[in-house]
Amino acid sequence: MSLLIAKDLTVELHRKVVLRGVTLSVAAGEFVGLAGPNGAGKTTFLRAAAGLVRKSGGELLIDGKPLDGRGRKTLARTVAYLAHGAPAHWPMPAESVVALGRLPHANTLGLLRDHDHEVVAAAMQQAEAADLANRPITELSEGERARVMIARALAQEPKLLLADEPTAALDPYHQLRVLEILRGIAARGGAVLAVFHDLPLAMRYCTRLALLVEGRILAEGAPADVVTADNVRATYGVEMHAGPTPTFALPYRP
Amino acid sequence: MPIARKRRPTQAAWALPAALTVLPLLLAGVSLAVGPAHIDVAAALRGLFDAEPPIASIILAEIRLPRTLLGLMVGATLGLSGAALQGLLRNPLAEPGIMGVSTTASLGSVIVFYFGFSAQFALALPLGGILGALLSVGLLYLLAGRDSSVLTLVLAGVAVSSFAAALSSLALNLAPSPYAALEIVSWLLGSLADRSMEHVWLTLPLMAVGWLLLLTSGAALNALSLGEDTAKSLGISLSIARLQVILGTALSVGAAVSVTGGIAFVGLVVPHLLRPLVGHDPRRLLPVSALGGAALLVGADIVVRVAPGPIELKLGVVTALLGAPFFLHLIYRTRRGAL
Repeated sequence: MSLLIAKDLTVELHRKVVLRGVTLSVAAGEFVGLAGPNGAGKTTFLRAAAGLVRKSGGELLIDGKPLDGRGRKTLARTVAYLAHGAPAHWPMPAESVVALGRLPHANTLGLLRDHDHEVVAAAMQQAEAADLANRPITELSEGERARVMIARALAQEPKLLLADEPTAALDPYHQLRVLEILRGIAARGGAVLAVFHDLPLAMRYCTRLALLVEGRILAEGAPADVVTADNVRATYGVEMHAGPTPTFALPYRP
Repeated sequence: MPIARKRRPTQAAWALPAALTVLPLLLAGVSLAVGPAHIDVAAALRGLFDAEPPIASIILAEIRLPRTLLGLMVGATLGLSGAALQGLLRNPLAEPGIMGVSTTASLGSVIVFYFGFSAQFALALPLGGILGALLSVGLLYLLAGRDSSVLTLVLAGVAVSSFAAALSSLALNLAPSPYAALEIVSWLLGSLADRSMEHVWLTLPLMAVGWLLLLTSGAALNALSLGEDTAKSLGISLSIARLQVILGTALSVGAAVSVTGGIAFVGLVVPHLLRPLVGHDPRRLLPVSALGGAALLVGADIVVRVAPGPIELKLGVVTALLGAPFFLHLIYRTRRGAL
């Protein structure tokens, strides 16, 4: 069952066409990577799927139903969105930040019940953030913050997780750790769509990869089939330096 | 283990509102008991329902009671709206006074005064205040709502505030008589003295609607602490949340200012002091700031009444004298990124 289906999706921002007919789907159990040069429309695609920007054409189905007809709160129970470099304005304890993920399931006042606290605790466990519960969010390192934010998204109990550059600004250890968490979510039956700049990492962790160039999908499929010398050249204008296994492929300028 | 983890925050969550509920009530009791006339409160209470109540009962019911009630109401309004504005703009320096809301509400009331609308129908004064407040909150939101950098916000507040102050001065300049001018000035300074129960009944319904709007915006304010995109992705309608806080602030602050004049900095100081005690949670900050604001204003009003001196100090003057240095201190700390 595909949780996200985009058919010929077009999006305009400030009268500029950003997505020019993107067709892409993400099914349960998949960890799909979206890569491409800056300004290709990766973030816009994620934001459209999260209901944050309006489509101007094409189709966008979330869990089998058109996104447009859904209320914001209903959508938030199905789709979680991890913004790139999302701010945290107050030094709230990490646990309270994770608890914000329960808002789509709470009443208007946002009061939490016992069940919500259990979900929050489980989400923090799953995102390996349980030890950070009482630390102020503003005092965490980037890597710790990333884990808390993933826990917050998991607390929404989403069927689809959209992550915008989840490994940006992380050290190599945390990059791997975050990707392992995301891969684990997909392995347990969740659907994950993440934007990547790091091709080797995307190849290693994603079950499927799509290359987005100037608002169009250039290639899509199994990572090893997508990351070819021709595709990398067409996408980024750089050569590729590949190793003996498909897990080793670097963008390269000779 | 999970039970122990859950208990602790729950206890802390209830202890503070409980303490903050008792405090304004205690201070209200003191406020009823003190004043320039030394009255026997017990006897005054006994005499309240007499056919011909003694003078002490009249002082209690018609001078001190409205003063105390308005102190509680206006204090709650300022604390609550300060906390809500800070949450909406995600900025610890937001406050109805600093942002010019009080000044434009004053202007609205001054216009009503000046053209004599208040003599024609009683609601004109609070309505003038509310319209003035609405104008500035809306304008501020347009100017600084999305990019809520401290500088834009404070500058926009300064601009709106100075313009409204200039218009108020114009009204003074053109005032028909020195007495009219004096009346306006004295009202602009901000005070709880010489108000009647009529003021309470006139403004309480408007303030109550404002409070309700502000108190129910808590979930949105919490979500907004992670930025607008994340808040939306959590199912929050930002347009509704903005409308709630803008309308709620305009209704409650507009009505408050129309009765008491400008009382600044309460909305800045109270949420700032209480925020660490509620784990920096914007929603939990709302009710405690209302209670804290009520306590602070009634307490300050007691101080101006018992302070020795030939003339009673104006409450608005005292809060500004104490609040302005606090504001400077906050700016200094924000600059160092210590907030």
